[in-house]
Amino acid sequence: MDNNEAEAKVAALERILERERLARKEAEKQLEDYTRELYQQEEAVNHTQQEVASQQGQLEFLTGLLAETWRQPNLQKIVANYLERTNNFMSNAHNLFVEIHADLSFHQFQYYCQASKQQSEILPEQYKVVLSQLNRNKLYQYVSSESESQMYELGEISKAPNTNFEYSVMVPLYNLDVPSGKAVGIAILLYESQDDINIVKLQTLESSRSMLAVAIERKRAEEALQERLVELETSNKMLEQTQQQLLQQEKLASLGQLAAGVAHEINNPIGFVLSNLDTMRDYFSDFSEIIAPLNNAELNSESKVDNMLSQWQTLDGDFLLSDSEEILVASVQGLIRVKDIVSDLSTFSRMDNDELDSIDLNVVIEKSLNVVSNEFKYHHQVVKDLLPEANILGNAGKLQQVFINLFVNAKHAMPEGGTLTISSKKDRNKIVVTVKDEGHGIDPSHLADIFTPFFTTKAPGEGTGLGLAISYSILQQHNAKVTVNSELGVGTEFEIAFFESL
Amino acid sequence: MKGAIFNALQEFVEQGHGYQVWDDALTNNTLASHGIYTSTKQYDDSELFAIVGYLSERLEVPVSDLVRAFGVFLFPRLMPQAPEEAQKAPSLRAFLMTVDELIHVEVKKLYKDAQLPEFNYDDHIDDKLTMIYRSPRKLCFLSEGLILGAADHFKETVSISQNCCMHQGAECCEIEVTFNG
Repeated sequence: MDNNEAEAKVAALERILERERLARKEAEKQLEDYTRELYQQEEAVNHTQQEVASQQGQLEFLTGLLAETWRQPNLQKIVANYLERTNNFMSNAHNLFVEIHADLSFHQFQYYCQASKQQSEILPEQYKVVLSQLNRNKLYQYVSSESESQMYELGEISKAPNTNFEYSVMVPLYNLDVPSGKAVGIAILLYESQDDINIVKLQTLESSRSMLAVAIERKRAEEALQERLVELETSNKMLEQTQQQLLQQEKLASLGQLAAGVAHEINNPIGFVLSNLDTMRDYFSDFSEIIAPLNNAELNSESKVDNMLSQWQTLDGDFLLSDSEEILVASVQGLIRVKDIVSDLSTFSRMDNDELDSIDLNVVIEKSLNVVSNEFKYHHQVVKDLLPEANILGNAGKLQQVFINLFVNAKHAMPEGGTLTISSKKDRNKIVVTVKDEGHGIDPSHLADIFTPFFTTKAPGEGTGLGLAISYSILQQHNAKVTVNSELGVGTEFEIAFFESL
Repeated sequence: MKGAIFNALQEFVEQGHGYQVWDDALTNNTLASHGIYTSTKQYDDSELFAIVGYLSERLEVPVSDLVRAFGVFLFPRLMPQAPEEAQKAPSLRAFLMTVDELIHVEVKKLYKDAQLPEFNYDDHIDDKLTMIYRSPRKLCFLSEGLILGAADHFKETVSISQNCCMHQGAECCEIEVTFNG
């Protein structure tokens, strides 16, 4: 290797070495930069982490408070929950609550202190001192005019210096109208030293207030609504009672109208039973006379029989016997009639319950006719064209009231006499009963009103105006549909469609 | 271009042709970096092309062959840094399929200023794989070399051809890899 070549190699190596050295310095500088950057990033991460933790704490406080506030049953519980949550969140503050009324009196003390984490009604001495020294007037004025929390040096708002606490934050929670005027609820945070105050947490606390205000407002509205509901329920109950009474009165009224007829209806059979019994008494003395020889000790057996036989013929014993039987049968029938009427009347006048049973509509119609039969006895005919069987779900007593009402109305529509036709037919799953009269009909202008309570065309004292209204409400309870066809001077037809019971 | 590539190129040149050739390449070019390369730093692409251009003339080897050979040399130096999932690939084909969506993604995480080529794949034929290469650097021959280096790693033989190439004015390079087992 000649010198030149060796020198060139050395020169190349030196250049390479120099480059390597510079590259290493570059790399080291980069390493230092990276290390510094890494450190700064770590710092930033730590800071962010703390921030996140703090924000999470705030968020937990807010969401927890929100969720629990809505669950509280009343205002006092909302406040208690607020205090408890605040106490956990504001780790350095003593948490009190007090309500001040317009007359500056204190109400509803509640407190939480960090030491005991306990809520109690009895106020510890240190809080008592604070509350007794507070300038209530200033506090009341502030809370009733301002809507934001306010921090005070305790001396600013007290009438005397306090040795336990230095600062206080007044948090207005609510402003209510109460019977004695106005009531303001204030949460009071007490701090022993300025260092304990965490402004960020106080800001979070402040932002929870609007939500709390809404919750309290909502709760009050809810309570008011609840009261209104109770009132409504009470008046509804009263209405129901009144309706029940009206129903009963209407029944009694129609009973009153029917009384004369019913009395006659009862009187009639009783009259002929009485006269029958009178006849029976005569027959009885005849029979006594016929058998009198039996007890005559002076006669022997043979003459006793001869005597009795001759008496039998004289007094027409055969007739007496057969007539007695007829009389007894008729009397029993008469009394059964009386019994039926009385029992039909009693099912009618009974206070009913609302239960629906499977009943036979024919029986109801018969019973109703029984009660009103006297009304139609002399100048009217009653024509029945009923299905052999008509079972529906219904209340027999109430439906009887409906039919009696319809029959009586029909009679009143036909003062000069006429025919009442009661028919029933099947229409798919329905049983349709038609009550038809040949009366004066209903004026078309009245047709819309006939089911309106207290609407009547009868003279005062004759009708209550409730008959059809009550009938209509009874039929509604039965899901029955009523149709009225009427023509002046021709007659009126009520068609009632009941659902057949299965 | 990352300094690490220049460092690898230096090693490649020094091993094949001696340190003087490398020194000549640096001293005969005016380089902004003065030929001082630190692996993690970013250097202008033109420096690489200037060095490669000089070497091609000096060694009388076409640029494409030179760059391809460098790719083969470079592969085993890059492979240890590849993500584990790519390292565990069962075959060359599977490995090549991870380049665009796995390896380059991981590289981007480490060096967000890295400029990487984009690959699309056409793998509808069993024994062939076409990697469609797009990069403003037009270093398709480096890709070829890297694929060949990967084939060595997986102990497979492949043949490579380009149906079209950005150097011939195409919009992309279609590097067709045929697997010969």
